[in-house]
Amino acid sequence: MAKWNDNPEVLSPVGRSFDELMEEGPRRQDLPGYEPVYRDFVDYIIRCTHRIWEEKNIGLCRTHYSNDCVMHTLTGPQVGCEVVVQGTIGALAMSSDRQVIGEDVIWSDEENGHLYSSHRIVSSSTHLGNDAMLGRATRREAGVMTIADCLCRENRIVEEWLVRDNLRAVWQVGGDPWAVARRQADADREGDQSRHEWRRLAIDRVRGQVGISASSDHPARLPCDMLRSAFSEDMYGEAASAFSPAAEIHWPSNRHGYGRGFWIGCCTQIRAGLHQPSVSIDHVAARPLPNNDVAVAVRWSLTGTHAGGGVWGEPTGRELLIMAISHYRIRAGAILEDFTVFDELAILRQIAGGLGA
Amino acid sequence: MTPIDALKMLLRGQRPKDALLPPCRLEGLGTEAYGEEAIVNHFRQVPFEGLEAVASVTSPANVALFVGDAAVFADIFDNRILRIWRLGPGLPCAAEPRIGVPFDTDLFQSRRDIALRREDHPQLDPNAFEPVQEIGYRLAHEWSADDSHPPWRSRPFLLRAFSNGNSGAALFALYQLGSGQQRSVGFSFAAARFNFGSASLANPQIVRDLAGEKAVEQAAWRTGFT
Repeated sequence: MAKWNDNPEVLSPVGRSFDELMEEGPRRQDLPGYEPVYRDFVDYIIRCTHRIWEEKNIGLCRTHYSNDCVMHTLTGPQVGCEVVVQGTIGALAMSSDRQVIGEDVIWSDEENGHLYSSHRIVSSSTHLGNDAMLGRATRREAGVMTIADCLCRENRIVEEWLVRDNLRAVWQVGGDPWAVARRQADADREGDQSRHEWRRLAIDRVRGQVGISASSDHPARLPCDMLRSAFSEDMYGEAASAFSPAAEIHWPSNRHGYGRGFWIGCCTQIRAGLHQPSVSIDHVAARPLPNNDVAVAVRWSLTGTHAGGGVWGEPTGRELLIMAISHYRIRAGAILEDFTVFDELAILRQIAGGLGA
Repeated sequence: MTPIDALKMLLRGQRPKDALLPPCRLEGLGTEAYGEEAIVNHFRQVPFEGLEAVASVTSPANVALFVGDAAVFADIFDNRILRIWRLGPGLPCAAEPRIGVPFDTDLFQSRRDIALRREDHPQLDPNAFEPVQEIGYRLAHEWSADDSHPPWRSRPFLLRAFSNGNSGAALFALYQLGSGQQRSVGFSFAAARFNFGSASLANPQIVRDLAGEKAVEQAAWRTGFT
Protein backbone atom coordinates (compact mmCIF):
# COMPACT_ATOMS: atom_id res chain seq x y z
CA MET A 1 0.00 0.00 0.00
CA ALA A 2 1.38 3.39 -0.99
CA LYS A 3 2.35 5.80 1.75
CA TRP A 4 1.55 9.49 1.72
CA ASN A 5 5.21 10.49 1.46
CA ASP A 6 6.36 7.94 -1.16
CA ASN A 7 7.89 9.34 -4.35
CA PRO A 8 9.70 12.26 -2.70
CA GLU A 9 11.06 13.21 -6.14
CA VAL A 10 7.53 14.28 -7.12
CA LEU A 11 7.59 17.80 -5.75
CA SER A 12 4.80 20.10 -4.72
CA PRO A 13 4.48 23.18 -6.97
CA VAL A 14 4.82 25.38 -3.88
CA GLY A 15 7.78 27.73 -4.27
CA ARG A 16 8.53 26.74 -7.89
CA SER A 17 8.58 29.25 -10.73
CA PHE A 18 6.36 28.84 -13.77
CA ASP A 19 9.42 28.21 -15.98
CA GLU A 20 10.54 25.45 -13.66
CA LEU A 21 7.06 23.93 -13.62
CA MET A 22 6.89 23.98 -17.42
CA GLU A 23 10.38 22.61 -18.02
CA GLU A 24 10.22 19.49 -20.16
CA GLY A 25 12.34 16.44 -19.47
CA PRO A 26 12.38 12.75 -18.62
CA ARG A 27 9.85 10.99 -16.43
CA ARG A 28 10.27 11.30 -12.69
CA GLN A 29 7.49 8.87 -11.82
CA ASP A 30 6.04 5.74 -13.38
CA LEU A 31 2.87 6.90 -15.16
CA PRO A 32 1.54 4.10 -17.36
CA GLY A 33 -0.79 5.32 -20.08
CA TYR A 34 0.01 9.01 -19.62
CA GLU A 35 1.32 11.21 -22.44
CA PRO A 36 5.14 11.31 -22.55
CA VAL A 37 5.16 15.07 -21.96
CA TYR A 38 4.05 14.55 -18.35
CA ARG A 39 7.03 14.04 -16.07
CA ASP A 40 5.08 13.14 -12.94
CA PHE A 41 1.52 13.33 -11.63
CA VAL A 42 1.87 16.88 -10.30
CA ASP A 43 3.20 17.91 -13.70
CA TYR A 44 0.21 16.21 -15.36
CA ILE A 45 -2.23 18.29 -13.31
CA ILE A 46 -0.38 21.62 -13.64
CA ARG A 47 0.59 21.21 -17.29
CA CYS A 48 -2.73 19.91 -18.64
CA THR A 49 -4.52 22.75 -16.84
CA HIS A 50 -2.16 25.21 -18.52
CA ARG A 51 -2.56 23.60 -21.93
CA ILE A 52 -6.36 23.59 -21.72
CA TRP A 53 -7.06 26.93 -20.01
CA GLU A 54 -4.17 29.21 -20.90
CA GLU A 55 -3.00 27.79 -24.23
CA LYS A 56 -6.72 27.40 -25.11
CA ASN A 57 -6.32 23.86 -26.43
CA ILE A 58 -9.70 23.00 -25.00
CA GLY A 59 -10.08 19.94 -27.20
CA LEU A 60 -7.46 18.28 -25.01
CA CYS A 61 -10.32 17.68 -22.60
CA ARG A 62 -11.26 14.82 -24.94
CA THR A 63 -7.98 13.04 -24.21
CA HIS A 64 -7.83 14.11 -20.55
CA TYR A 65 -11.37 13.25 -19.41
CA SER A 66 -13.06 9.90 -19.83
CA ASN A 67 -16.25 9.77 -21.87
CA ASP A 68 -18.25 8.87 -18.77
CA CYS A 69 -16.40 11.18 -16.38
CA VAL A 70 -18.65 12.53 -13.63
CA MET A 71 -17.94 16.04 -12.41
CA HIS A 72 -19.51 16.71 -9.02
CA THR A 73 -20.32 20.25 -7.91
CA LEU A 74 -22.79 21.62 -5.41
CA THR A 75 -25.07 22.49 -8.31
CA GLY A 76 -25.27 18.89 -9.44
CA PRO A 77 -23.21 16.31 -11.32
CA GLN A 78 -22.35 16.61 -14.98
CA VAL A 79 -21.34 13.66 -17.12
CA GLY A 80 -18.97 13.32 -20.05
CA CYS A 81 -15.99 15.08 -21.53
CA GLU A 82 -18.11 17.03 -24.04
CA VAL A 83 -19.80 18.79 -21.12
CA VAL A 84 -16.35 19.73 -19.84
CA VAL A 85 -15.34 21.02 -23.28
CA GLN A 86 -18.46 23.16 -23.57
CA GLY A 87 -18.16 24.48 -20.01
CA THR A 88 -14.53 25.44 -20.52
CA ILE A 89 -15.29 27.26 -23.78
CA GLY A 90 -18.13 29.11 -22.07
CA ALA A 91 -15.95 30.15 -19.14
CA LEU A 92 -13.20 31.37 -21.45
CA ALA A 93 -15.65 33.24 -23.64
CA MET A 94 -16.58 35.23 -20.52
CA SER A 95 -13.09 35.63 -19.05
CA SER A 96 -10.67 34.91 -21.87
CA ASP A 97 -7.60 36.25 -20.07
CA ARG A 98 -8.04 33.83 -17.21
CA GLN A 99 -4.85 32.73 -15.50
CA VAL A 100 -5.27 29.45 -13.68
CA ILE A 101 -2.58 29.69 -11.04
CA GLY A 102 -1.87 26.45 -9.27
CA GLU A 103 -1.03 27.00 -5.62
CA ASP A 104 -0.65 23.35 -4.68
CA VAL A 105 -1.35 19.81 -5.84
CA ILE A 106 -1.81 17.35 -2.97
CA TRP A 107 -2.08 13.84 -4.33
CA SER A 108 -2.41 10.21 -3.36
CA ASP A 109 -1.94 6.83 -4.98
CA GLU A 110 -5.31 5.09 -4.84
CA GLU A 111 -3.96 1.72 -6.06
CA ASN A 112 -5.13 -0.14 -9.20
CA GLY A 113 -3.59 2.50 -11.44
CA HIS A 114 -5.65 5.34 -10.02
CA LEU A 115 -4.07 8.55 -8.79
CA TYR A 116 -6.01 11.27 -6.99
CA SER A 117 -5.13 14.98 -6.99
CA SER A 118 -6.42 17.90 -4.98
CA HIS A 119 -5.48 20.99 -6.98
CA ARG A 120 -5.80 24.41 -5.34
CA ILE A 121 -6.13 27.16 -7.90
CA VAL A 122 -6.67 30.87 -7.94
CA SER A 123 -8.23 31.87 -11.25
CA SER A 124 -7.60 35.47 -12.04
CA SER A 125 -9.42 37.16 -14.92
CA THR A 126 -11.28 40.17 -16.26
CA HIS A 127 -15.05 39.92 -16.57
CA LEU A 128 -15.16 40.87 -20.26
CA GLY A 129 -18.03 38.72 -21.48
CA ASN A 130 -21.61 38.05 -20.44
CA ASP A 131 -22.14 35.06 -18.17
CA ALA A 132 -25.13 33.15 -16.84
CA MET A 133 -24.00 33.45 -13.22
CA LEU A 134 -22.11 36.76 -13.19
CA GLY A 135 -24.40 38.55 -15.63
CA ARG A 136 -23.45 41.20 -18.18
CA ALA A 137 -19.77 42.00 -18.59
CA THR A 138 -18.63 44.48 -15.97
CA ARG A 139 -14.94 44.72 -17.01
CA ARG A 140 -14.03 44.22 -13.37
CA GLU A 141 -11.25 42.00 -12.12
CA ALA A 142 -12.28 38.74 -10.53
CA GLY A 143 -10.12 36.18 -8.82
CA VAL A 144 -11.38 33.43 -6.58
CA MET A 145 -10.14 30.16 -5.19
CA THR A 146 -11.13 26.80 -6.64
CA ILE A 147 -10.13 23.35 -5.47
CA ALA A 148 -10.51 20.55 -7.99
CA ASP A 149 -10.19 16.96 -6.77
CA CYS A 150 -9.59 14.56 -9.65
CA LEU A 151 -9.46 10.79 -9.78
CA CYS A 152 -7.23 9.91 -12.72
CA ARG A 153 -6.18 6.86 -14.67
CA GLU A 154 -4.10 6.56 -17.84
CA ASN A 155 -4.06 10.24 -18.76
CA ARG A 156 -7.75 10.77 -18.06
CA ILE A 157 -9.77 12.26 -15.26
CA VAL A 158 -12.46 9.69 -14.53
CA GLU A 159 -14.21 11.55 -11.70
CA GLU A 160 -13.93 15.11 -10.42
CA TRP A 161 -15.19 17.07 -7.41
CA LEU A 162 -15.06 20.83 -7.93
CA VAL A 163 -15.61 23.56 -5.34
CA ARG A 164 -15.36 27.25 -6.16
CA ASP A 165 -15.90 30.38 -4.10
CA ASN A 166 -18.65 31.56 -6.45
CA LEU A 167 -20.22 33.96 -4.00
CA ARG A 168 -17.03 35.96 -3.78
CA ALA A 169 -16.90 36.06 -7.58
CA VAL A 170 -20.41 37.56 -7.65
CA TRP A 171 -19.33 40.16 -5.11
CA GLN A 172 -16.21 41.00 -7.09
CA VAL A 173 -18.23 41.97 -10.16
CA GLY A 174 -20.67 44.00 -8.06
CA GLY A 175 -23.49 41.45 -8.10
CA ASP A 176 -26.12 40.62 -5.49
CA PRO A 177 -25.64 37.01 -4.31
CA TRP A 178 -29.23 36.58 -3.12
CA ALA A 179 -30.62 37.89 -6.40
CA VAL A 180 -28.46 35.43 -8.35
CA ALA A 181 -29.36 32.56 -6.01
CA ARG A 182 -33.11 33.29 -6.22
CA ARG A 183 -32.96 33.44 -10.00
CA GLN A 184 -31.18 30.10 -10.09
CA ALA A 185 -33.68 28.61 -7.62
CA ASP A 186 -36.61 29.79 -9.75
CA ALA A 187 -35.11 27.95 -12.72
CA ASP A 188 -34.54 24.85 -10.59
CA ARG A 189 -38.24 24.69 -9.70
CA GLU A 190 -39.23 24.45 -13.35
CA GLY A 191 -39.29 21.27 -15.38
CA ASP A 192 -38.61 17.68 -14.38
CA GLN A 193 -37.63 17.64 -10.71
CA SER A 194 -36.05 14.21 -10.97
CA ARG A 195 -32.92 15.93 -12.27
CA HIS A 196 -32.28 17.09 -8.71
CA GLU A 197 -32.49 13.59 -7.22
CA TRP A 198 -28.70 13.59 -6.79
CA ARG A 199 -29.02 16.11 -3.96
CA ARG A 200 -31.35 13.91 -1.90
CA LEU A 201 -29.08 10.93 -2.48
CA ALA A 202 -26.05 12.95 -1.42
CA ILE A 203 -27.79 14.14 1.74
CA ASP A 204 -28.81 10.55 2.54
CA ARG A 205 -25.21 9.44 2.07
CA VAL A 206 -23.89 12.08 4.46
CA ARG A 207 -26.69 11.31 6.94
CA GLY A 208 -25.58 7.68 6.78
CA GLN A 209 -22.04 8.90 7.41
CA VAL A 210 -20.50 6.47 4.97
CA GLY A 211 -17.27 8.38 5.23
CA ILE A 212 -13.67 7.31 5.56
CA SER A 213 -11.09 7.63 8.26
CA ALA A 214 -7.40 8.45 8.07
CA SER A 215 -5.04 6.03 9.75
CA SER A 216 -3.39 7.18 12.96
CA ASP A 217 -0.03 7.68 11.25
CA HIS A 218 -1.44 9.74 8.37
CA PRO A 219 -1.11 13.55 8.63
CA ALA A 220 -4.79 13.92 7.68
CA ARG A 221 -5.83 12.29 10.93
CA LEU A 222 -5.38 15.61 12.74
CA PRO A 223 -7.83 17.66 10.60
CA CYS A 224 -10.24 14.72 10.20
CA ASP A 225 -10.56 14.37 13.97
CA MET A 226 -10.87 18.13 14.20
CA LEU A 227 -13.76 18.34 11.71
CA ARG A 228 -15.59 15.45 13.37
CA SER A 229 -15.06 16.91 16.81
CA ALA A 230 -16.51 20.22 15.64
CA PHE A 231 -19.44 19.14 13.51
CA SER A 232 -20.37 15.78 15.12
CA GLU A 233 -19.72 16.61 18.77
CA ASP A 234 -19.81 20.43 18.90
CA MET A 235 -16.48 20.33 20.78
CA TYR A 236 -15.10 23.37 19.02
CA GLY A 237 -12.44 24.25 21.57
CA GLU A 238 -10.99 20.76 21.52
CA ALA A 239 -11.20 20.67 17.75
CA ALA A 240 -9.40 24.00 17.38
CA SER A 241 -6.47 22.79 19.46
CA ALA A 242 -5.28 21.20 16.20
CA PHE A 243 -4.33 24.71 15.09
CA SER A 244 -1.36 26.83 16.00
CA PRO A 245 -2.64 29.71 18.19
CA ALA A 246 -1.75 32.12 15.37
CA ALA A 247 -2.96 30.00 12.43
CA GLU A 248 -4.20 31.77 9.32
CA ILE A 249 -7.70 30.88 8.18
CA HIS A 250 -9.18 31.43 4.68
CA TRP A 251 -12.81 30.40 4.29
CA PRO A 252 -15.25 31.27 1.50
CA SER A 253 -16.85 34.65 0.90
CA ASN A 254 -13.65 36.38 2.01
CA ARG A 255 -13.62 35.12 5.58
CA HIS A 256 -9.97 35.70 6.42
CA GLY A 257 -8.57 35.82 9.93
CA TYR A 258 -6.18 34.41 12.47
CA GLY A 259 -6.26 32.14 15.47
CA ARG A 260 -8.22 29.23 16.86
CA GLY A 261 -11.11 31.45 17.84
CA PHE A 262 -11.52 32.69 14.27
CA TRP A 263 -11.78 29.12 12.98
CA ILE A 264 -14.35 28.34 15.66
CA GLY A 265 -16.22 31.47 14.56
CA CYS A 266 -16.32 30.22 10.96
CA CYS A 267 -17.67 26.84 12.12
CA THR A 268 -20.28 28.18 14.52
CA GLN A 269 -21.42 30.75 11.99
CA ILE A 270 -22.56 28.01 9.62
CA ARG A 271 -23.47 25.52 12.37
CA ALA A 272 -25.88 28.07 13.90
CA GLY A 273 -28.03 27.86 10.80
CA LEU A 274 -27.69 24.07 10.42
CA HIS A 275 -29.54 21.99 12.96
CA GLN A 276 -28.99 18.24 13.39
CA PRO A 277 -25.84 18.24 11.29
CA SER A 278 -24.01 15.26 9.89
CA VAL A 279 -20.46 15.42 8.60
CA SER A 280 -18.72 12.95 6.33
CA ILE A 281 -15.01 12.78 5.51
CA ASP A 282 -14.92 11.74 1.87
CA HIS A 283 -11.25 11.74 0.88
CA VAL A 284 -7.84 12.59 2.31
CA ALA A 285 -4.38 13.07 0.85
CA ALA A 286 -1.08 14.47 2.09
CA ARG A 287 2.27 15.40 0.59
CA PRO A 288 5.54 16.84 1.88
CA LEU A 289 6.12 20.56 1.41
CA PRO A 290 9.40 22.51 1.42
CA ASN A 291 10.94 23.26 4.82
CA ASN A 292 9.50 20.10 6.42
CA ASP A 293 5.91 21.32 6.31
CA VAL A 294 3.15 18.91 5.29
CA ALA A 295 0.21 19.68 3.01
CA VAL A 296 -3.05 17.87 3.72
CA ALA A 297 -6.20 17.83 1.60
CA VAL A 298 -9.55 16.79 3.05
CA ARG A 299 -12.76 16.59 1.05
CA TRP A 300 -15.75 16.62 3.36
CA SER A 301 -19.51 17.02 3.27
CA LEU A 302 -21.89 18.55 5.74
CA THR A 303 -25.65 18.41 5.86
CA GLY A 304 -28.28 19.69 8.22
CA THR A 305 -31.65 21.39 8.50
CA HIS A 306 -31.73 25.13 7.96
CA ALA A 307 -33.55 25.74 11.24
CA GLY A 308 -31.51 28.55 12.74
CA GLY A 309 -31.08 32.17 11.76
CA GLY A 310 -27.84 33.93 11.09
CA VAL A 311 -25.61 34.45 8.12
CA TRP A 312 -28.00 32.71 5.70
CA GLY A 313 -31.10 34.60 6.80
CA GLU A 314 -34.35 33.42 8.32
CA PRO A 315 -34.65 29.64 8.77
CA THR A 316 -36.48 27.84 5.99
CA GLY A 317 -36.51 24.23 7.22
CA ARG A 318 -34.71 23.17 4.04
CA GLU A 319 -32.25 20.30 4.16
CA LEU A 320 -28.93 21.78 3.05
CA LEU A 321 -25.91 20.08 1.54
CA ILE A 322 -22.38 21.46 1.63
CA MET A 323 -19.46 19.97 -0.25
CA ALA A 324 -16.16 21.36 0.98
CA ILE A 325 -12.48 20.81 0.34
CA SER A 326 -9.87 22.01 2.82
CA HIS A 327 -6.14 22.33 2.33
CA TYR A 328 -4.07 22.53 5.49
CA ARG A 329 -0.40 23.33 6.01
CA ILE A 330 0.93 21.50 9.03
CA ARG A 331 4.16 22.40 10.81
CA ALA A 332 5.54 20.60 13.85
CA GLY A 333 2.24 18.90 14.60
CA ALA A 334 -0.10 21.89 14.31
CA ILE A 335 -2.11 23.42 11.49
CA LEU A 336 -0.58 26.71 10.43
CA GLU A 337 -2.85 27.52 7.50
CA ASP A 338 -6.35 26.50 6.45
CA PHE A 339 -7.75 27.10 2.95
CA THR A 340 -11.33 25.88 2.93
CA VAL A 341 -13.51 26.28 -0.14
CA PHE A 342 -17.21 25.60 -0.65
CA ASP A 343 -19.78 27.16 -2.94
CA GLU A 344 -21.78 29.42 -0.63
CA LEU A 345 -23.78 30.74 -3.58
CA ALA A 346 -25.10 27.21 -4.10
CA ILE A 347 -26.08 27.12 -0.42
CA LEU A 348 -28.11 30.31 -0.83
CA ARG A 349 -29.68 28.70 -3.92
CA GLN A 350 -30.78 25.70 -1.81
CA ILE A 351 -32.16 28.04 0.86
CA ALA A 352 -34.07 29.91 -1.85
CA GLY A 353 -35.78 26.63 -2.76
CA GLY A 354 -33.50 25.49 -5.53
CA LEU A 355 -32.07 22.11 -6.60
CA GLY A 356 -35.11 20.09 -5.68
CA ALA A 357 -37.18 19.23 -2.66
CA MET B 1 18.71 39.74 -8.60
CA THR B 2 18.44 39.33 -4.84
CA PRO B 3 15.01 39.36 -3.20
CA ILE B 4 15.91 42.68 -1.54
CA ASP B 5 16.75 44.26 -4.91
CA ALA B 6 13.55 42.85 -6.39
CA LEU B 7 11.49 44.20 -3.50
CA LYS B 8 13.07 47.65 -3.84
CA MET B 9 12.19 47.72 -7.54
CA LEU B 10 8.68 46.72 -6.70
CA LEU B 11 8.38 49.39 -4.03
CA ARG B 12 9.33 52.00 -6.62
CA GLY B 13 6.49 50.76 -8.80
CA GLN B 14 8.72 48.88 -11.23
CA ARG B 15 8.36 45.27 -12.35
CA PRO B 16 11.25 43.06 -11.30
CA LYS B 17 11.75 40.36 -13.94
CA ASP B 18 11.00 36.79 -12.81
CA ALA B 19 11.12 37.78 -9.14
CA LEU B 20 7.53 37.02 -8.13
CA LEU B 21 6.16 33.50 -8.05
CA PRO B 22 2.81 33.13 -9.90
CA PRO B 23 0.70 32.71 -6.72
CA CYS B 24 2.25 35.79 -5.10
CA ARG B 25 -0.18 37.56 -2.76
CA LEU B 26 0.09 41.09 -1.37
CA GLU B 27 -1.68 42.44 1.68
CA GLY B 28 -1.36 46.13 2.36
CA LEU B 29 -3.23 49.40 2.77
CA GLY B 30 -6.25 47.43 3.93
CA THR B 31 -6.60 45.38 0.78
CA GLU B 32 -5.23 42.36 -1.07
CA ALA B 33 -3.74 41.92 -4.53
CA TYR B 34 -3.03 38.61 -6.22
CA GLY B 35 -0.54 37.93 -9.00
CA GLU B 36 2.27 39.93 -10.51
CA GLU B 37 0.21 42.41 -12.53
CA ALA B 38 -2.04 43.38 -9.63
CA ILE B 39 0.89 43.68 -7.23
CA VAL B 40 3.00 45.80 -9.59
CA ASN B 41 -0.04 47.96 -10.23
CA HIS B 42 -0.55 48.41 -6.48
CA PHE B 43 2.98 49.76 -5.98
CA ARG B 44 2.82 51.79 -9.19
CA GLN B 45 -0.18 53.62 -7.82
CA VAL B 46 1.27 54.08 -4.32
CA PRO B 47 5.07 53.78 -4.54
CA PHE B 48 7.45 53.99 -1.62
CA GLU B 49 9.71 56.96 -1.06
CA GLY B 50 13.01 57.23 0.80
CA LEU B 51 14.39 53.92 -0.37
CA GLU B 52 17.94 55.15 0.01
CA ALA B 53 17.69 54.53 3.77
CA VAL B 54 16.47 50.99 4.22
CA ALA B 55 17.12 48.71 7.17
CA SER B 56 16.70 45.03 6.46
CA VAL B 57 16.57 41.69 8.23
CA THR B 58 16.81 38.54 6.15
CA SER B 59 16.64 34.79 6.56
CA PRO B 60 16.69 32.10 3.84
CA ALA B 61 12.88 32.20 3.77
CA ASN B 62 12.03 35.80 4.69
CA VAL B 63 12.93 39.42 4.07
CA ALA B 64 11.89 42.45 6.10
CA LEU B 65 12.56 45.99 4.94
CA PHE B 66 12.03 49.00 7.18
CA VAL B 67 11.74 52.32 5.37
CA GLY B 68 11.05 55.21 7.72
CA ASP B 69 7.58 54.72 9.15
CA ALA B 70 6.78 51.90 6.74
CA ALA B 71 7.80 48.27 6.40
CA VAL B 72 7.56 45.40 3.95
CA PHE B 73 7.75 41.70 4.77
CA ALA B 74 8.11 38.94 2.19
CA ASP B 75 8.18 35.14 2.09
CA ILE B 76 10.95 33.84 -0.16
CA PHE B 77 11.42 30.53 -1.97
CA ASP B 78 14.68 30.07 -3.90
CA ASN B 79 15.15 33.84 -4.18
CA ARG B 80 11.62 34.38 -5.49
CA ILE B 81 8.84 36.15 -3.67
CA LEU B 82 5.69 34.24 -2.70
CA ARG B 83 3.97 36.65 -0.35
CA ILE B 84 4.23 40.33 0.62
CA TRP B 85 2.85 42.45 3.44
CA ARG B 86 2.98 46.25 3.24
CA LEU B 87 2.61 48.32 6.41
CA GLY B 88 2.67 52.02 7.01
CA PRO B 89 0.80 55.27 6.65
CA GLY B 90 -1.52 56.12 3.80
CA LEU B 91 -5.08 56.01 2.69
CA PRO B 92 -6.73 52.61 2.69
CA CYS B 93 -7.54 51.11 -0.70
CA ALA B 94 -11.05 49.97 -1.53
CA ALA B 95 -11.47 46.52 -0.04
CA GLU B 96 -13.63 43.67 -1.25
CA PRO B 97 -16.80 42.81 0.65
CA ARG B 98 -16.34 40.18 3.31
CA ILE B 99 -18.56 38.34 5.72
CA GLY B 100 -17.91 39.35 9.31
CA VAL B 101 -17.03 36.38 11.49
CA PRO B 102 -18.00 36.86 15.16
CA PHE B 103 -15.28 35.22 17.22
CA ASP B 104 -13.48 35.13 20.53
CA THR B 105 -9.79 36.02 20.30
CA ASP B 106 -8.93 34.60 23.70
CA LEU B 107 -10.99 31.45 24.50
CA PHE B 108 -10.25 32.29 28.11
CA GLN B 109 -11.83 34.56 30.72
CA SER B 110 -8.50 35.90 31.89
CA ARG B 111 -7.57 37.64 28.67
CA ARG B 112 -4.62 36.32 26.66
CA ASP B 113 -2.05 38.85 25.52
CA ILE B 114 -0.62 37.36 22.38
CA ALA B 115 -1.12 34.30 20.18
CA LEU B 116 2.11 32.63 19.14
CA ARG B 117 3.89 29.30 19.04
CA ARG B 118 7.65 28.91 19.06
CA GLU B 119 7.69 25.96 16.62
CA ASP B 120 6.02 28.03 13.91
CA HIS B 121 9.20 30.08 13.51
CA PRO B 122 12.21 27.83 12.88
CA GLN B 123 14.23 30.74 11.45
CA LEU B 124 14.08 32.61 14.74
CA ASP B 125 17.03 32.24 17.09
CA PRO B 126 15.70 30.69 20.32
CA ASN B 127 17.22 33.63 22.20
CA ALA B 128 15.03 35.99 20.20
CA PHE B 129 11.76 34.37 21.21
CA GLU B 130 11.38 36.27 24.47
CA PRO B 131 11.98 39.64 22.80
CA VAL B 132 9.29 38.79 20.26
CA GLN B 133 6.90 37.92 23.08
CA GLU B 134 7.76 41.18 24.78
CA ILE B 135 7.01 43.14 21.59
CA GLY B 136 3.70 41.36 21.22
CA TYR B 137 2.89 42.14 24.81
CA ARG B 138 3.62 45.83 24.20
CA LEU B 139 1.42 45.82 21.12
CA ALA B 140 -1.42 44.38 23.15
CA HIS B 141 -1.01 46.74 26.11
CA GLU B 142 0.72 49.93 25.06
CA TRP B 143 -1.15 50.51 21.87
CA SER B 144 -2.70 53.65 23.27
CA ALA B 145 0.56 55.49 24.07
CA ASP B 146 0.14 58.09 21.31
CA ASP B 147 -3.39 57.32 20.29
CA SER B 148 -6.37 59.44 21.23
CA HIS B 149 -8.81 56.63 20.40
CA PRO B 150 -7.18 53.41 21.56
CA PRO B 151 -8.97 50.23 20.64
CA TRP B 152 -11.08 48.52 23.26
CA ARG B 153 -9.24 45.29 22.61
CA SER B 154 -6.06 44.60 20.69
CA ARG B 155 -4.66 41.10 20.14
CA PRO B 156 -1.46 40.32 18.24
CA PHE B 157 -1.10 37.02 16.35
CA LEU B 158 2.51 36.29 15.42
CA LEU B 159 2.66 35.47 11.71
CA ARG B 160 6.37 35.62 10.91
CA ALA B 161 9.48 35.93 13.08
CA PHE B 162 13.08 35.36 12.05
CA SER B 163 16.56 36.53 12.88
CA ASN B 164 19.98 37.01 11.42
CA GLY B 165 22.86 37.44 13.84
CA ASN B 166 21.54 39.60 16.65
CA SER B 167 18.89 41.27 14.51
CA GLY B 168 15.34 40.05 14.45
CA ALA B 169 12.09 40.90 12.70
CA ALA B 170 8.51 40.01 13.53
CA LEU B 171 5.20 40.47 11.75
CA PHE B 172 1.94 40.40 13.68
CA ALA B 173 -1.67 40.36 12.55
CA LEU B 174 -3.37 42.74 14.93
CA TYR B 175 -7.00 42.24 15.81
CA GLN B 176 -8.74 45.43 16.86
CA LEU B 177 -12.09 45.89 18.51
CA GLY B 178 -12.77 49.63 18.42
CA SER B 179 -13.58 51.71 21.46
CA GLY B 180 -16.68 53.43 20.04
CA GLN B 181 -20.18 52.59 21.19
CA GLN B 182 -20.56 50.73 17.91
CA ARG B 183 -17.27 48.89 17.64
CA SER B 184 -15.15 48.61 14.55
CA VAL B 185 -13.79 45.08 14.04
CA GLY B 186 -10.99 43.65 11.98
CA PHE B 187 -7.35 42.83 11.43
CA SER B 188 -4.47 45.10 10.52
CA PHE B 189 -0.75 44.39 10.91
CA ALA B 190 2.24 45.51 12.95
CA ALA B 191 5.94 44.89 12.32
CA ALA B 192 8.98 45.07 14.55
CA ARG B 193 12.74 45.17 14.10
CA PHE B 194 14.82 44.54 17.15
CA ASN B 195 18.21 43.52 18.46
CA PHE B 196 18.57 40.80 21.02
CA GLY B 197 21.29 39.33 23.14
CA SER B 198 21.34 41.79 26.00
CA ALA B 199 19.27 41.34 29.14
CA SER B 200 16.50 43.71 28.11
CA LEU B 201 14.82 44.56 24.86
CA ALA B 202 16.27 47.87 23.71
CA ASN B 203 14.04 50.20 21.70
CA PRO B 204 12.54 47.96 19.05
CA GLN B 205 11.37 49.73 15.91
CA ILE B 206 7.62 49.23 15.63
CA VAL B 207 5.79 49.96 12.38
CA ARG B 208 2.04 50.13 12.50
CA ASP B 209 -0.23 49.44 9.56
CA LEU B 210 -1.90 52.83 9.85
CA ALA B 211 -3.69 52.51 6.51
CA GLY B 212 -4.94 49.08 7.54
CA GLU B 213 -6.13 50.46 10.86
CA LYS B 214 -8.12 53.13 9.04
CA ALA B 215 -9.56 50.42 6.81
CA VAL B 216 -10.70 48.51 9.88
CA GLU B 217 -12.35 51.65 11.28
CA GLN B 218 -14.19 52.25 8.01
CA ALA B 219 -15.07 48.65 7.16
CA ALA B 220 -18.68 47.55 6.99
CA TRP B 221 -19.68 44.69 9.26
CA ARG B 222 -21.64 42.31 7.07
CA THR B 223 -23.64 39.70 8.91
CA GLY B 224 -25.32 38.31 5.82
CA PHE B 225 -25.48 38.50 2.06
CA THR B 226 -28.16 41.11 1.58
